[in-house]
Amino acid sequence: MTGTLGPVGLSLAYLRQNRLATALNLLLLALGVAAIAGLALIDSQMQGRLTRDVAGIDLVVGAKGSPLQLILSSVYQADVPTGNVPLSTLEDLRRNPLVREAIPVALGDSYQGFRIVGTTPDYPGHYQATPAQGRMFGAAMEATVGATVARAANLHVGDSFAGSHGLTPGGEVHAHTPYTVVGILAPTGTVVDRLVLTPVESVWAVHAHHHHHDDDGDGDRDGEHDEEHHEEVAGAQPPREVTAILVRYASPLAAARLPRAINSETGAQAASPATELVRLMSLLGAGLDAFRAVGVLLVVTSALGTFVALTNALQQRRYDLAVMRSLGASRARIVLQITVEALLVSGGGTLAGLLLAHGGLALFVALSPKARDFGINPLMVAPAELGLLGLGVVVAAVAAALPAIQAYRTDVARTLAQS
Amino acid sequence: MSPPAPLIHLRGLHHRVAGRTVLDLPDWRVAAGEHGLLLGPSGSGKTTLLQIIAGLLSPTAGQVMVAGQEMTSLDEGVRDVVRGACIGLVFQQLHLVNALTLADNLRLAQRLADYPPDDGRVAQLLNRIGLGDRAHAYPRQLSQGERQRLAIARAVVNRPALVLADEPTSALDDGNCTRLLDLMLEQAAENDATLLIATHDARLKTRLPARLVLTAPALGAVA
Ligand SMILES: Nc1ncnc2c1ncn2[C@@H]1O[C@H](COP(=O)(O)OP(=O)(O)OP(=O)(O)O)[C@@H](O)[C@H]1O
Ligand SMILES: [Mg+2]
Repeated sequence: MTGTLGPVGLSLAYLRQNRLATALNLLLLALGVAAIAGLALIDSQMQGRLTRDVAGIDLVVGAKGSPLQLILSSVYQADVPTGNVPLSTLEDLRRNPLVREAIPVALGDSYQGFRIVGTTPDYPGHYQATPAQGRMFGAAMEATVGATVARAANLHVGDSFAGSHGLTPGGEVHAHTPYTVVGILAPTGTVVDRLVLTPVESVWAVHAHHHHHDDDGDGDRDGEHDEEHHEEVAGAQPPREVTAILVRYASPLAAARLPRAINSETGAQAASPATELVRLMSLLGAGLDAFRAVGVLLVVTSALGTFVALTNALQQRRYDLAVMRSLGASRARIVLQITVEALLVSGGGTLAGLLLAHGGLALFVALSPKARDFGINPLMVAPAELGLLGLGVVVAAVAAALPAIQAYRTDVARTLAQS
Repeated sequence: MSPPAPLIHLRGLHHRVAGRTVLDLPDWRVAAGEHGLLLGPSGSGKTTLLQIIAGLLSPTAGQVMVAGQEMTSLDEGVRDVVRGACIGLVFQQLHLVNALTLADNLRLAQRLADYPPDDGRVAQLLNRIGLGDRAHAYPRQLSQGERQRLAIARAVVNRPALVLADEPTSALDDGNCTRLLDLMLEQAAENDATLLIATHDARLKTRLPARLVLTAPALGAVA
């Protein structure tokens, strides 16, 4: 098989001779495979991620608005919140016998693009996140940071940092209410990795200061609070609100009663993550299906292209193949030659496509913070990729079959006598 | 002492194409070392006969003995092996492999005939045909005469007992024609090969005896 004149070496020599056709075929196949593989990668990673983040959360209660937005903002930390609900909503839920667990989520600030989430230790507990260093937050202004945040922002236990207003970088810095890092969480592969966790009271404290400052209307946009202002707000009562409440039911009965009760009897809305997840998937799914169809089309086109190219090459090379026979090569050697050539093209194209998919995904993740938020890892391999490699082999086999049969049947004497 | 078995022995050879007799040779022998020409007008069956001797074509009837092997009774796979090992072919259209360098064209002949690679032999032959410094060139980059010499080098690279050449000189001028025939005779002598040339090139008749003259419509007469 090896050496410059074995089936592989000889195939490479012929492919080199038809560089342009070979390159075009490889490109077509690679693009098709890349489209399909890229989709499979995004699909499997997103599905896994979306389901993991929502696991065990039966209901999300938050301000009225789009239920999908509520789920996206409070469970996936990927959209702006619908608003806030009073703390009494949380207290009511905790007293409700239908509720086993109610975890508050208070949003508003971020640090270097990572969200600061005011909550209770139940929240990381829900995602099985435990401190790899230090401990879980306890008092106000203590922060336990997710693994990704710690790495990206280079935070260590004992460091202190100030959050900035808003969920995207560039907001006003709350310099007078710094957080102290008391712990760093072990990686979980969930949304928690990308969060800064702190007691709800921290968020209230920061916001109390902020509200007052905003109401001042002194146009102080440089983010520095002077000492005078700080004195003024020291006695102000923080607004006791949370952004959303993640609820686990105590019994299946709750599913029938609780959402309706909340939606009709309180000013809040209750959204079911499962329902919204299905809706989100079908929204994404339609787009992904269209993309996938393009990929399949490309692969089919390139399979046809490989077939045409092989048939053409064989037509041009029927003399060469006949000469190989006259030099002592068996029919089997000729069939092997053609099959190896088809496998090289389709295998090369498929591998190039898979590399392209991972490379493209890496680029996508580097350029799009949204993809990063969803925790897409370009190095992760989807099981579908193995299937694609198999498909490459099948494409090669189909493309090679007819030319191989033709070559097998070639009348060497007649071919050699033609000019 | 009985005379040595002939290198080629055809008995009762009969070949029909599309119901028409193309060849009819009751008994024809060529002894080892007996170089010669296969003559006859166009369409008289010269190419057909060479292909039958080489085992590329099965005759309609008759026996084909080559180097002691009954070619017609062999399995196709064995025939491929015998051809690779014992017979060197030079085609009128040359049929060089354009995707490969000159050296690789010769190496391919070694490889497909299951001979161990012998780069010394390849270099020696390329030097002999005046292409020693162009081992890495491709056949397309050669002149017609150079390509013709390469085709002969490929036919003899495995030192076959029998070299069959089909119109090797028809496209060449007198100088090239002489040089080519010299090369073939020299290589045949060096390798103890028997050289059989199918041609209607009159220039060769002064150098080699006719072994067989085929007459249209394809009836053989021993010269
Ligand atoms: N595949 C074929 N189908 C039909 N007839 C064929 C075929 N191959 C050869 N023939 C016929 O067999 C006869 C002998 O052909 P062949 O090629 O052996 O002649 P040749 O002596 O080599 O001629 P030339 O000097 O022109 O090369 C011719 O009449 C030719 O038409
Ligand atoms: Mg002929």
